[in-house]
Amino acid sequence: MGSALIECNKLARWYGSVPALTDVDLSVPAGITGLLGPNGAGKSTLLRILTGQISASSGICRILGRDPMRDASVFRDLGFCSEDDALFERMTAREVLTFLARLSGFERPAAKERVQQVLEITGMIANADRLTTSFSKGMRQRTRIAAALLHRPMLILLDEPMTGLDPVGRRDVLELLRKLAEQGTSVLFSSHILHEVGAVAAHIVVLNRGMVLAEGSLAEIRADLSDHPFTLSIRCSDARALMLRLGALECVTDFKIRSLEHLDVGASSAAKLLHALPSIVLESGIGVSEVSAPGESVEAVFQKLLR
Amino acid sequence: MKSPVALLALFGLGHILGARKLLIAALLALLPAALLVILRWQEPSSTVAEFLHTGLPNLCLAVTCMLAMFLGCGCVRDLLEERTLGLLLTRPIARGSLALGLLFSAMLLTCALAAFAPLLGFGVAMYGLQLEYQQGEPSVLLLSSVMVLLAIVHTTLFSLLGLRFRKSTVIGVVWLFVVEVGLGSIPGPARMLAPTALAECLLSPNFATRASISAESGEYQIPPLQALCILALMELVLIVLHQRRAASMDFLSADVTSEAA
Repeated sequence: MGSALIECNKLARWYGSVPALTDVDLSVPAGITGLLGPNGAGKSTLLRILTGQISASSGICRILGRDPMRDASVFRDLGFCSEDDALFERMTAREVLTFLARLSGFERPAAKERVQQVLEITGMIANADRLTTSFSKGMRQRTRIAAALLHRPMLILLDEPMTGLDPVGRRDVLELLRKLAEQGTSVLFSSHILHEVGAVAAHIVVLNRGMVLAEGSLAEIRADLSDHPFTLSIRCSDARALMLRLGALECVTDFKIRSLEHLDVGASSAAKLLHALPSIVLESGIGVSEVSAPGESVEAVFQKLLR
Repeated sequence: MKSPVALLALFGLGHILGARKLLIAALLALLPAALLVILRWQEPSSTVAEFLHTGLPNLCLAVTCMLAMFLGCGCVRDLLEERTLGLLLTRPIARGSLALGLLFSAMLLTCALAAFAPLLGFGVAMYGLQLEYQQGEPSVLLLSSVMVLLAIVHTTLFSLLGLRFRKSTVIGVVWLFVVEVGLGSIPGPARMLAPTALAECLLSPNFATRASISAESGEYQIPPLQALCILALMELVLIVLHQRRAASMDFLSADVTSEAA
Protein backbone atom coordinates (compact mmCIF):
# COMPACT_ATOMS: atom_id res chain seq x y z
CA MET A 1 0.00 0.00 0.00
CA GLY A 2 3.05 2.32 0.11
CA SER A 3 3.25 5.43 2.28
CA ALA A 4 -0.22 6.76 1.44
CA LEU A 5 -2.49 7.31 4.44
CA ILE A 6 -5.62 6.64 2.45
CA GLU A 7 -5.89 4.26 -0.47
CA CYS A 8 -9.03 3.63 -2.47
CA ASN A 9 -9.25 1.20 -5.30
CA LYS A 10 -12.25 1.22 -7.67
CA LEU A 11 -14.44 2.53 -4.89
CA ALA A 12 -18.10 2.86 -5.83
CA ARG A 13 -21.25 3.65 -3.94
CA TRP A 14 -24.79 3.58 -5.25
CA TYR A 15 -27.91 4.84 -3.51
CA GLY A 16 -30.50 2.69 -5.21
CA SER A 17 -30.01 3.55 -8.86
CA VAL A 18 -28.20 6.82 -8.12
CA PRO A 19 -24.40 6.57 -8.39
CA ALA A 20 -22.71 8.69 -5.72
CA LEU A 21 -19.17 7.46 -6.38
CA THR A 22 -17.89 5.73 -9.49
CA ASP A 23 -14.61 3.82 -9.64
CA VAL A 24 -12.70 6.16 -7.37
CA ASP A 25 -8.99 5.44 -7.27
CA LEU A 26 -7.33 7.60 -4.70
CA SER A 27 -4.06 7.83 -2.86
CA VAL A 28 -3.75 10.49 -0.18
CA PRO A 29 -0.26 11.28 1.12
CA ALA A 30 0.69 12.85 4.45
CA GLY A 31 0.17 16.59 4.80
CA ILE A 32 -2.88 18.68 3.99
CA THR A 33 -5.12 17.38 1.24
CA GLY A 34 -8.12 19.25 -0.07
CA LEU A 35 -11.08 17.38 -1.46
CA LEU A 36 -12.59 19.80 -3.89
CA GLY A 37 -15.89 19.53 -5.65
CA PRO A 38 -19.26 21.20 -6.11
CA ASN A 39 -22.25 20.24 -3.99
CA GLY A 40 -23.37 16.71 -4.80
CA ALA A 41 -19.94 15.70 -6.11
CA GLY A 42 -19.71 12.77 -3.70
CA LYS A 43 -17.33 14.33 -1.13
CA SER A 44 -19.42 13.49 1.92
CA THR A 45 -20.13 9.99 0.65
CA LEU A 46 -16.41 9.42 0.16
CA LEU A 47 -15.62 10.69 3.67
CA ARG A 48 -18.41 8.58 5.17
CA ILE A 49 -16.98 5.48 3.49
CA LEU A 50 -13.49 6.41 4.64
CA THR A 51 -14.77 6.60 8.24
CA GLY A 52 -16.75 3.37 7.99
CA GLN A 53 -20.12 5.01 8.52
CA ILE A 54 -21.43 3.62 5.28
CA SER A 55 -20.08 0.76 3.24
CA ALA A 56 -18.91 0.91 -0.35
CA SER A 57 -21.03 -0.85 -2.95
CA SER A 58 -17.81 -2.15 -4.46
CA GLY A 59 -14.08 -1.54 -4.32
CA ILE A 60 -11.54 -1.41 -1.54
CA CYS A 61 -10.73 1.36 0.88
CA ARG A 62 -7.92 1.36 3.42
CA ILE A 63 -7.30 4.16 5.84
CA LEU A 64 -4.04 4.02 7.79
CA GLY A 65 -3.77 0.50 6.40
CA ARG A 66 -7.01 -0.65 8.01
CA ASP A 67 -10.59 -1.25 7.00
CA PRO A 68 -12.62 1.41 8.85
CA MET A 69 -15.83 -0.62 8.53
CA ARG A 70 -14.42 -3.62 10.38
CA ASP A 71 -11.63 -2.26 12.56
CA ALA A 72 -12.73 0.35 15.09
CA SER A 73 -9.16 0.65 16.38
CA VAL A 74 -8.43 2.88 13.38
CA PHE A 75 -10.24 5.64 15.28
CA ARG A 76 -7.40 5.76 17.79
CA ASP A 77 -5.38 7.42 15.01
CA LEU A 78 -8.19 9.00 13.03
CA GLY A 79 -10.37 11.98 13.84
CA PHE A 80 -13.49 12.93 11.92
CA CYS A 81 -15.66 16.01 11.83
CA SER A 82 -18.76 15.44 9.74
CA GLU A 83 -20.78 18.13 7.99
CA ASP A 84 -23.87 17.24 10.04
CA ASP A 85 -24.72 20.16 12.28
CA ALA A 86 -25.48 17.88 15.22
CA LEU A 87 -24.30 17.73 18.81
CA PHE A 88 -25.74 16.02 21.85
CA GLU A 89 -28.39 18.25 23.30
CA ARG A 90 -28.85 19.04 27.00
CA MET A 91 -25.08 18.87 27.45
CA THR A 92 -22.46 21.60 27.59
CA ALA A 93 -19.59 21.61 25.12
CA ARG A 94 -17.27 20.54 27.91
CA GLU A 95 -19.52 17.62 28.86
CA VAL A 96 -19.82 16.48 25.24
CA LEU A 97 -16.07 16.58 24.75
CA THR A 98 -15.31 14.93 28.11
CA PHE A 99 -17.70 12.09 27.28
CA LEU A 100 -16.15 11.61 23.84
CA ALA A 101 -12.65 11.77 25.33
CA ARG A 102 -13.56 9.05 27.83
CA LEU A 103 -14.91 6.93 24.98
CA SER A 104 -11.58 7.45 23.23
CA GLY A 105 -9.84 5.87 26.20
CA PHE A 106 -8.87 8.84 28.38
CA GLU A 107 -9.11 8.48 32.17
CA ARG A 108 -11.27 11.18 33.76
CA PRO A 109 -8.44 13.57 34.85
CA ALA A 110 -6.61 13.19 31.53
CA ALA A 111 -9.89 13.71 29.67
CA LYS A 112 -10.57 16.96 31.54
CA GLU A 113 -7.08 18.23 30.80
CA ARG A 114 -7.26 17.33 27.12
CA VAL A 115 -10.72 18.85 26.76
CA GLN A 116 -9.39 22.11 28.19
CA GLN A 117 -6.59 22.03 25.60
CA VAL A 118 -8.85 21.45 22.59
CA LEU A 119 -11.30 24.08 23.81
CA GLU A 120 -8.41 26.55 23.83
CA ILE A 121 -7.18 25.41 20.42
CA THR A 122 -10.61 25.89 18.84
CA GLY A 123 -11.39 29.13 20.64
CA MET A 124 -14.34 27.67 22.52
CA ILE A 125 -13.08 28.18 26.05
CA ALA A 126 -15.44 31.09 26.77
CA ASN A 127 -18.47 29.04 25.75
CA ALA A 128 -17.35 25.69 27.14
CA ASP A 129 -19.94 25.56 29.90
CA ARG A 130 -22.93 26.62 27.84
CA LEU A 131 -25.51 24.12 26.61
CA THR A 132 -24.91 23.15 23.01
CA THR A 133 -28.53 23.99 22.19
CA SER A 134 -27.71 27.67 22.72
CA PHE A 135 -24.78 27.55 20.29
CA SER A 136 -24.59 29.27 16.94
CA LYS A 137 -23.76 27.14 13.93
CA GLY A 138 -20.16 28.30 14.08
CA MET A 139 -19.81 27.33 17.75
CA ARG A 140 -21.25 23.92 17.05
CA GLN A 141 -18.79 23.51 14.20
CA ARG A 142 -15.86 24.48 16.43
CA THR A 143 -17.03 22.02 19.09
CA ARG A 144 -17.16 19.21 16.54
CA ILE A 145 -13.71 20.13 15.25
CA ALA A 146 -12.54 20.00 18.90
CA ALA A 147 -14.08 16.52 19.17
CA ALA A 148 -12.08 15.39 16.14
CA LEU A 149 -8.84 16.66 17.72
CA LEU A 150 -9.44 15.16 21.19
CA HIS A 151 -7.37 12.00 20.92
CA ARG A 152 -4.44 13.58 19.06
CA PRO A 153 -5.05 11.62 15.85
CA MET A 154 -2.37 11.31 13.20
CA LEU A 155 -4.98 11.88 10.47
CA ILE A 156 -8.03 14.12 10.61
CA LEU A 157 -10.87 14.10 8.11
CA LEU A 158 -13.04 17.20 8.02
CA ASP A 159 -16.18 17.45 5.93
CA GLU A 160 -16.81 21.09 4.98
CA PRO A 161 -15.15 22.38 8.17
CA MET A 162 -15.64 26.02 7.27
CA THR A 163 -19.42 25.75 6.94
CA GLY A 164 -21.23 28.13 9.25
CA LEU A 165 -18.10 30.02 10.23
CA ASP A 166 -17.69 33.76 9.78
CA PRO A 167 -14.63 35.05 7.86
CA VAL A 168 -12.56 35.23 11.06
CA GLY A 169 -13.62 31.71 11.99
CA ARG A 170 -12.71 30.48 8.52
CA ARG A 171 -9.30 32.07 8.76
CA ASP A 172 -8.83 30.52 12.22
CA VAL A 173 -9.71 27.06 10.95
CA LEU A 174 -7.35 27.38 8.00
CA GLU A 175 -4.65 28.52 10.41
CA LEU A 176 -5.45 25.55 12.66
CA LEU A 177 -5.08 23.16 9.72
CA ARG A 178 -1.70 24.68 8.93
CA LYS A 179 -0.59 24.32 12.55
CA LEU A 180 -1.74 20.71 12.69
CA ALA A 181 0.22 19.95 9.54
CA GLU A 182 3.32 21.59 11.04
CA GLN A 183 2.93 19.37 14.10
CA GLY A 184 2.86 16.28 11.87
CA THR A 185 -0.87 15.67 11.76
CA SER A 186 -2.23 14.96 8.32
CA VAL A 187 -5.51 16.51 7.25
CA LEU A 188 -8.00 15.69 4.55
CA PHE A 189 -10.74 18.28 4.29
CA SER A 190 -13.52 18.75 1.82
CA SER A 191 -14.78 22.04 0.53
CA HIS A 192 -16.62 23.48 -2.42
CA ILE A 193 -15.02 26.85 -1.77
CA LEU A 194 -11.99 26.89 -3.95
CA HIS A 195 -9.76 29.50 -2.42
CA GLU A 196 -9.95 27.73 0.94
CA VAL A 197 -8.50 24.60 -0.59
CA GLY A 198 -5.93 26.53 -2.59
CA ALA A 199 -4.84 28.42 0.53
CA VAL A 200 -3.67 25.44 2.58
CA ALA A 201 -3.76 22.18 0.66
CA ALA A 202 -0.52 20.78 -0.72
CA HIS A 203 -2.41 18.00 -2.43
CA ILE A 204 -5.78 18.41 -4.11
CA VAL A 205 -8.33 15.87 -5.24
CA VAL A 206 -11.00 17.23 -7.54
CA LEU A 207 -14.23 15.28 -7.42
CA ASN A 208 -17.30 15.76 -9.57
CA ARG A 209 -20.33 13.55 -10.14
CA GLY A 210 -18.71 10.81 -8.11
CA MET A 211 -15.52 10.69 -10.17
CA VAL A 212 -12.00 11.91 -9.49
CA LEU A 213 -11.27 14.48 -12.18
CA ALA A 214 -7.76 15.34 -11.09
CA GLU A 215 -5.36 14.62 -8.28
CA GLY A 216 -2.06 16.16 -7.31
CA SER A 217 -0.63 19.49 -6.27
CA LEU A 218 -2.24 22.63 -7.65
CA ALA A 219 0.85 23.11 -9.84
CA GLU A 220 0.53 19.57 -11.21
CA ILE A 221 -3.12 20.05 -11.96
CA ARG A 222 -2.35 23.35 -13.65
CA ALA A 223 0.41 21.71 -15.68
CA ASP A 224 -2.07 19.11 -16.88
CA LEU A 225 -4.20 21.95 -18.08
CA SER A 226 -1.38 24.00 -19.58
CA ASP A 227 -2.48 23.38 -23.12
CA HIS A 228 -5.84 24.86 -22.41
CA PRO A 229 -6.57 28.40 -23.62
CA PHE A 230 -5.97 31.02 -20.99
CA THR A 231 -5.50 34.73 -20.49
CA LEU A 232 -2.51 36.56 -19.05
CA SER A 233 -2.79 40.04 -17.62
CA ILE A 234 0.41 42.11 -17.90
CA ARG A 235 1.18 45.55 -16.44
CA CYS A 236 4.13 47.04 -18.28
CA SER A 237 5.77 50.30 -19.34
CA ASP A 238 4.53 50.05 -22.97
CA ALA A 239 1.54 47.85 -23.69
CA ARG A 240 1.50 48.51 -27.45
CA ALA A 241 5.16 47.59 -27.92
CA LEU A 242 4.71 44.41 -25.95
CA MET A 243 1.62 43.52 -27.97
CA LEU A 244 3.60 43.78 -31.20
CA ARG A 245 6.32 41.52 -29.82
CA LEU A 246 3.90 38.93 -28.48
CA GLY A 247 1.86 39.00 -31.68
CA ALA A 248 4.68 37.13 -33.39
CA LEU A 249 4.04 34.10 -31.21
CA GLU A 250 1.96 31.34 -32.76
CA CYS A 251 0.13 30.50 -29.55
CA VAL A 252 -1.16 34.03 -28.97
CA THR A 253 -4.75 34.31 -30.13
CA ASP A 254 -5.95 37.76 -29.09
CA PHE A 255 -5.15 40.96 -27.23
CA LYS A 256 -7.02 43.46 -25.21
CA ILE A 257 -5.35 46.76 -24.40
CA ARG A 258 -6.86 47.97 -21.14
CA SER A 259 -4.64 51.06 -20.91
CA LEU A 260 -1.28 52.22 -22.17
CA GLU A 261 0.33 50.18 -19.42
CA HIS A 262 -2.04 47.25 -19.10
CA LEU A 263 -2.46 44.42 -21.59
CA ASP A 264 -4.48 41.19 -21.61
CA VAL A 265 -3.06 38.43 -23.79
CA GLY A 266 -5.13 35.45 -24.87
CA ALA A 267 -3.23 32.26 -25.75
CA SER A 268 -4.10 28.79 -26.95
CA SER A 269 -1.42 27.24 -24.76
CA ALA A 270 -0.45 28.53 -21.35
CA ALA A 271 2.78 26.58 -21.31
CA LYS A 272 4.05 28.02 -24.61
CA LEU A 273 3.20 31.61 -23.73
CA LEU A 274 4.75 31.38 -20.26
CA HIS A 275 7.88 29.82 -21.74
CA ALA A 276 8.31 32.55 -24.35
CA LEU A 277 7.35 35.59 -22.28
CA PRO A 278 10.55 36.09 -20.20
CA SER A 279 12.89 36.14 -23.18
CA ILE A 280 10.61 38.53 -25.12
CA VAL A 281 10.51 40.92 -22.18
CA LEU A 282 14.28 40.79 -21.69
CA GLU A 283 15.02 41.28 -25.36
CA SER A 284 12.60 44.19 -25.82
CA GLY A 285 13.64 46.01 -22.67
CA ILE A 286 10.02 46.73 -21.81
CA GLY A 287 9.57 47.11 -18.07
CA VAL A 288 7.06 44.65 -16.65
CA SER A 289 5.70 45.40 -13.20
CA GLU A 290 3.08 42.67 -12.83
CA VAL A 291 2.06 39.46 -14.54
CA SER A 292 -1.05 37.69 -13.35
CA ALA A 293 -3.30 34.99 -14.68
CA PRO A 294 -6.79 35.74 -13.42
CA GLY A 295 -8.01 32.70 -15.29
CA GLU A 296 -5.47 30.51 -13.51
CA SER A 297 -6.84 30.86 -10.00
CA VAL A 298 -7.90 27.66 -8.27
CA GLU A 299 -11.41 28.54 -9.30
CA ALA A 300 -10.49 28.76 -12.95
CA VAL A 301 -8.60 25.46 -12.82
CA PHE A 302 -11.61 23.91 -11.15
CA GLN A 303 -14.00 25.27 -13.76
CA LYS A 304 -11.78 23.97 -16.55
CA LEU A 305 -11.74 20.52 -14.97
CA LEU A 306 -15.49 20.54 -14.64
CA ARG A 307 -15.83 21.42 -18.31
CA MET B 1 -11.54 3.05 33.96
CA LYS B 2 -15.19 2.51 33.03
CA SER B 3 -15.76 0.24 30.07
CA PRO B 4 -17.13 1.91 26.94
CA VAL B 5 -20.32 -0.13 27.28
CA ALA B 6 -20.92 1.27 30.79
CA LEU B 7 -20.12 4.82 29.62
CA LEU B 8 -22.53 4.46 26.72
CA ALA B 9 -25.22 2.97 28.95
CA LEU B 10 -24.94 5.94 31.30
CA PHE B 11 -24.97 8.33 28.37
CA GLY B 12 -27.99 6.60 26.83
CA LEU B 13 -29.81 6.71 30.14
CA GLY B 14 -29.18 10.44 30.44
CA HIS B 15 -30.30 10.88 26.85
CA ILE B 16 -33.63 9.13 27.48
CA LEU B 17 -34.15 10.79 30.88
CA GLY B 18 -33.83 14.18 29.27
CA ALA B 19 -36.15 13.36 26.39
CA ARG B 20 -39.87 13.99 26.11
CA LYS B 21 -40.52 10.30 25.64
CA LEU B 22 -39.75 9.71 29.31
CA LEU B 23 -42.99 11.50 30.20
CA ILE B 24 -44.99 9.17 27.95
CA ALA B 25 -43.16 6.13 29.37
CA ALA B 26 -43.88 7.28 32.92
CA LEU B 27 -47.56 7.80 32.08
CA LEU B 28 -47.68 4.25 30.70
CA ALA B 29 -46.17 2.93 33.94
CA LEU B 30 -48.77 4.85 35.97
CA LEU B 31 -51.65 3.35 33.95
CA PRO B 32 -52.33 0.28 36.19
CA ALA B 33 -52.44 2.42 39.36
CA ALA B 34 -54.65 5.00 37.67
CA LEU B 35 -57.10 2.32 36.53
CA LEU B 36 -57.25 0.97 40.08
CA VAL B 37 -58.17 4.38 41.44
CA ILE B 38 -60.89 4.79 38.79
CA LEU B 39 -62.24 1.30 39.53
CA ARG B 40 -62.34 2.01 43.26
CA TRP B 41 -64.55 5.04 42.68
CA GLN B 42 -67.10 3.09 40.72
CA GLU B 43 -66.98 -0.51 41.95
CA PRO B 44 -67.11 -2.27 45.32
CA SER B 45 -63.80 -3.30 46.88
CA SER B 46 -64.32 -6.96 45.95
CA THR B 47 -64.15 -5.99 42.28
CA VAL B 48 -60.93 -4.12 42.91
CA ALA B 49 -59.46 -7.14 44.73
CA GLU B 50 -60.39 -9.30 41.77
CA PHE B 51 -58.78 -6.78 39.44
CA LEU B 52 -55.46 -7.32 41.25
CA HIS B 53 -55.72 -11.00 40.42
CA THR B 54 -56.98 -10.77 36.84
CA GLY B 55 -56.81 -7.35 35.24
CA LEU B 56 -53.59 -6.03 36.74
CA PRO B 57 -51.21 -8.78 35.50
CA ASN B 58 -52.58 -8.56 31.96
CA LEU B 59 -52.45 -4.79 32.03
CA CYS B 60 -48.86 -4.92 33.34
CA LEU B 61 -47.91 -7.34 30.55
CA ALA B 62 -49.35 -4.94 27.97
CA VAL B 63 -47.67 -1.93 29.59
CA THR B 64 -44.31 -3.73 29.69
CA CYS B 65 -44.57 -4.63 25.99
CA MET B 66 -45.42 -1.04 25.10
CA LEU B 67 -42.64 0.39 27.28
CA ALA B 68 -40.11 -1.97 25.70
CA MET B 69 -41.29 -1.03 22.23
CA PHE B 70 -41.29 2.65 23.02
CA LEU B 71 -37.81 2.73 24.54
CA GLY B 72 -36.20 -0.20 22.72
CA CYS B 73 -36.97 0.79 19.13
CA GLY B 74 -35.40 4.22 19.58
CA CYS B 75 -32.32 3.47 21.66
CA VAL B 76 -30.02 3.54 18.60
CA ARG B 77 -32.46 4.86 15.99
CA ASP B 78 -33.05 8.14 17.87
CA LEU B 79 -29.34 9.02 17.74
CA LEU B 80 -29.30 8.08 14.08
CA GLU B 81 -32.19 10.40 13.37
CA GLU B 82 -30.67 13.18 15.48
CA ARG B 83 -27.53 12.66 13.38
CA THR B 84 -25.38 12.40 16.50
CA LEU B 85 -24.59 8.71 16.09
CA GLY B 86 -21.64 9.66 13.87
CA LEU B 87 -19.94 11.24 16.89
CA LEU B 88 -20.00 7.84 18.60
CA LEU B 89 -19.24 5.75 15.52
CA THR B 90 -15.95 7.57 15.02
CA ARG B 91 -14.59 6.57 18.43
CA PRO B 92 -12.45 3.46 18.91
CA ILE B 93 -15.35 1.31 20.08
CA ALA B 94 -16.63 -1.78 18.35
CA ARG B 95 -20.06 -1.20 16.84
CA GLY B 96 -21.43 -4.15 18.79
CA SER B 97 -20.32 -2.54 22.08
CA LEU B 98 -21.82 0.76 21.01
CA ALA B 99 -25.21 -0.79 20.29
CA LEU B 100 -24.99 -2.91 23.45
CA GLY B 101 -24.32 0.13 25.65
CA LEU B 102 -27.31 1.98 24.21
CA LEU B 103 -29.45 -1.16 24.52
CA PHE B 104 -28.51 -1.49 28.20
CA SER B 105 -29.64 2.07 28.88
CA ALA B 106 -33.07 1.40 27.35
CA MET B 107 -33.25 -1.96 29.08
CA LEU B 108 -32.44 -0.46 32.48
CA LEU B 109 -35.16 2.14 32.23
CA THR B 110 -37.73 -0.28 30.80
CA CYS B 111 -37.03 -2.77 33.60
CA ALA B 112 -37.32 -0.05 36.25
CA LEU B 113 -40.66 1.18 34.90
CA ALA B 114 -41.97 -2.34 34.25
CA ALA B 115 -41.16 -3.35 37.86
CA PHE B 116 -42.55 -0.08 39.21
CA ALA B 117 -45.95 -0.36 37.49
CA PRO B 118 -47.24 -3.44 39.45
CA LEU B 119 -45.58 -2.25 42.66
CA LEU B 120 -47.39 1.05 42.40
CA GLY B 121 -50.64 -0.73 41.47
CA PHE B 122 -50.48 -2.93 44.56
CA GLY B 123 -49.27 -0.04 46.69
CA VAL B 124 -52.23 2.10 45.67
CA ALA B 125 -54.62 -0.81 46.30
CA MET B 126 -53.23 -1.72 49.71
CA TYR B 127 -52.35 1.62 51.21
CA GLY B 128 -54.29 4.17 49.19
CA LEU B 129 -57.54 2.24 48.79
CA GLN B 130 -57.23 0.33 52.10
CA LEU B 131 -57.75 -3.14 50.56
CA GLU B 132 -56.68 -5.99 52.78
CA TYR B 133 -53.81 -8.07 51.48
CA GLN B 134 -53.87 -11.59 52.83
CA GLN B 135 -51.47 -14.52 52.86
CA GLY B 136 -51.77 -16.60 49.72
CA GLU B 137 -52.92 -13.72 47.55
CA PRO B 138 -51.04 -12.90 44.35
CA SER B 139 -47.44 -11.89 45.01
CA VAL B 140 -46.51 -8.45 43.76
CA LEU B 141 -42.84 -9.40 43.83
CA LEU B 142 -43.47 -12.30 41.46
CA LEU B 143 -45.38 -10.01 39.14
CA SER B 144 -42.61 -7.37 39.19
CA SER B 145 -39.87 -9.97 38.60
CA VAL B 146 -41.68 -11.47 35.63
CA MET B 147 -42.23 -7.98 34.20
CA VAL B 148 -38.49 -7.30 34.47
CA LEU B 149 -37.73 -10.54 32.67
CA LEU B 150 -40.22 -9.73 29.93
CA ALA B 151 -38.86 -6.19 29.67
CA ILE B 152 -35.33 -7.52 29.10
CA VAL B 153 -36.39 -9.84 26.27
CA HIS B 154 -38.70 -7.34 24.63
CA THR B 155 -36.30 -4.39 24.82
CA THR B 156 -33.64 -6.47 23.07
CA LEU B 157 -36.16 -7.58 20.47
CA PHE B 158 -37.41 -4.07 19.74
CA SER B 159 -33.91 -2.62 19.74
CA LEU B 160 -33.00 -5.22 17.11
CA LEU B 161 -36.02 -4.13 15.08
CA GLY B 162 -34.81 -0.54 15.51
CA LEU B 163 -31.43 -1.51 14.04
CA ARG B 164 -33.09 -3.32 11.17
CA PHE B 165 -36.06 -1.17 10.16
CA ARG B 166 -36.60 2.53 9.77
CA LYS B 167 -40.28 2.24 10.76
CA SER B 168 -39.45 -0.07 13.64
CA THR B 169 -42.33 1.14 15.83
CA VAL B 170 -44.84 0.15 13.15
CA ILE B 171 -43.16 -3.25 12.82
CA GLY B 172 -43.21 -3.46 16.64
CA VAL B 173 -46.97 -2.85 16.78
CA VAL B 174 -47.49 -5.51 14.11
CA TRP B 175 -45.31 -7.87 16.15
CA LEU B 176 -47.36 -7.22 19.29
CA PHE B 177 -50.65 -7.99 17.55
CA VAL B 178 -49.51 -10.90 15.39
CA VAL B 179 -47.11 -12.70 17.73
CA GLU B 180 -47.93 -11.64 21.27
CA VAL B 181 -51.70 -11.41 20.94
CA GLY B 182 -52.34 -13.78 18.01
CA LEU B 183 -49.72 -16.51 18.28
CA GLY B 184 -49.64 -16.28 22.09
CA SER B 185 -53.35 -17.16 22.21
CA ILE B 186 -53.11 -20.25 20.01
CA PRO B 187 -53.20 -23.42 22.10
CA GLY B 188 -50.16 -25.61 21.53
CA PRO B 189 -46.37 -25.32 21.32
CA ALA B 190 -46.51 -22.43 18.79
CA ARG B 191 -47.25 -20.04 21.64
CA MET B 192 -43.69 -20.63 22.90
CA LEU B 193 -42.58 -18.14 20.26
CA ALA B 194 -44.41 -15.35 22.06
CA PRO B 195 -42.40 -14.00 25.02
CA THR B 196 -45.58 -12.68 26.65
CA ALA B 197 -47.15 -16.15 26.60
CA LEU B 198 -44.01 -17.52 28.27
CA ALA B 199 -44.16 -14.78 30.90
CA GLU B 200 -47.80 -15.70 31.55
CA CYS B 201 -46.67 -19.28 32.26
CA LEU B 202 -44.41 -17.91 35.00
CA LEU B 203 -47.33 -16.03 36.54
CA SER B 204 -49.69 -19.01 36.44
CA PRO B 205 -51.44 -20.06 38.69
CA ASN B 206 -50.94 -17.04 40.96
CA PHE B 207 -52.49 -14.66 38.45
CA ALA B 208 -55.31 -15.19 35.99
CA THR B 209 -53.76 -15.00 32.54
CA ARG B 210 -54.19 -16.82 29.23
CA ALA B 211 -51.85 -19.53 30.57
CA SER B 212 -53.92 -20.19 33.69
CA ILE B 213 -57.13 -20.28 31.63
CA SER B 214 -55.50 -22.84 29.29
CA ALA B 215 -54.40 -24.88 32.30
CA GLU B 216 -57.89 -24.87 33.73
CA SER B 217 -59.38 -26.03 30.44
CA GLY B 218 -56.78 -28.80 30.13
CA GLU B 219 -55.07 -27.31 27.05
CA TYR B 220 -51.35 -27.50 26.31
CA GLN B 221 -49.34 -25.65 28.91
CA ILE B 222 -45.65 -24.85 29.30
CA PRO B 223 -44.17 -25.59 32.75
CA PRO B 224 -42.72 -22.45 34.44
CA LEU B 225 -39.14 -23.75 34.46
CA GLN B 226 -39.32 -24.58 30.76
CA ALA B 227 -40.80 -21.14 30.05
CA LEU B 228 -37.96 -19.51 31.99
CA CYS B 229 -35.35 -21.50 30.03
CA ILE B 230 -36.97 -20.61 26.71
CA LEU B 231 -37.04 -16.92 27.66
CA ALA B 232 -33.35 -17.06 28.64
CA LEU B 233 -32.46 -18.80 25.38
CA MET B 234 -34.54 -16.31 23.44
CA GLU B 235 -32.67 -13.41 25.06
CA LEU B 236 -29.33 -15.02 24.27
CA VAL B 237 -30.24 -15.47 20.61
CA LEU B 238 -31.56 -11.91 20.40
CA ILE B 239 -28.37 -10.48 21.92
CA VAL B 240 -26.24 -12.42 19.41
CA LEU B 241 -28.41 -11.20 16.52
CA HIS B 242 -28.26 -7.66 17.93
CA GLN B 243 -24.46 -7.78 18.03
CA ARG B 244 -24.17 -9.23 14.55
CA ARG B 245 -26.56 -6.67 13.12
CA ALA B 246 -24.76 -3.77 14.79
CA ALA B 247 -21.34 -5.02 13.65
CA SER B 248 -22.35 -5.18 9.99
CA MET B 249 -24.78 -2.28 9.91
CA ASP B 250 -24.52 0.52 7.39
CA PHE B 251 -25.56 2.98 10.10
CA LEU B 252 -26.01 6.14 8.12
CA SER B 253 -27.08 4.70 4.80
CA ALA B 254 -30.81 5.16 5.44
CA ASP B 255 -30.35 8.88 6.00
CA VAL B 256 -28.01 9.28 3.09
CA THR B 257 -30.29 7.32 0.79
CA SER B 258 -33.18 9.60 1.56
CA GLU B 259 -30.97 12.64 0.95
CA ALA B 260 -29.83 11.28 -2.39
CA ALA B 261 -33.39 10.50 -3.39
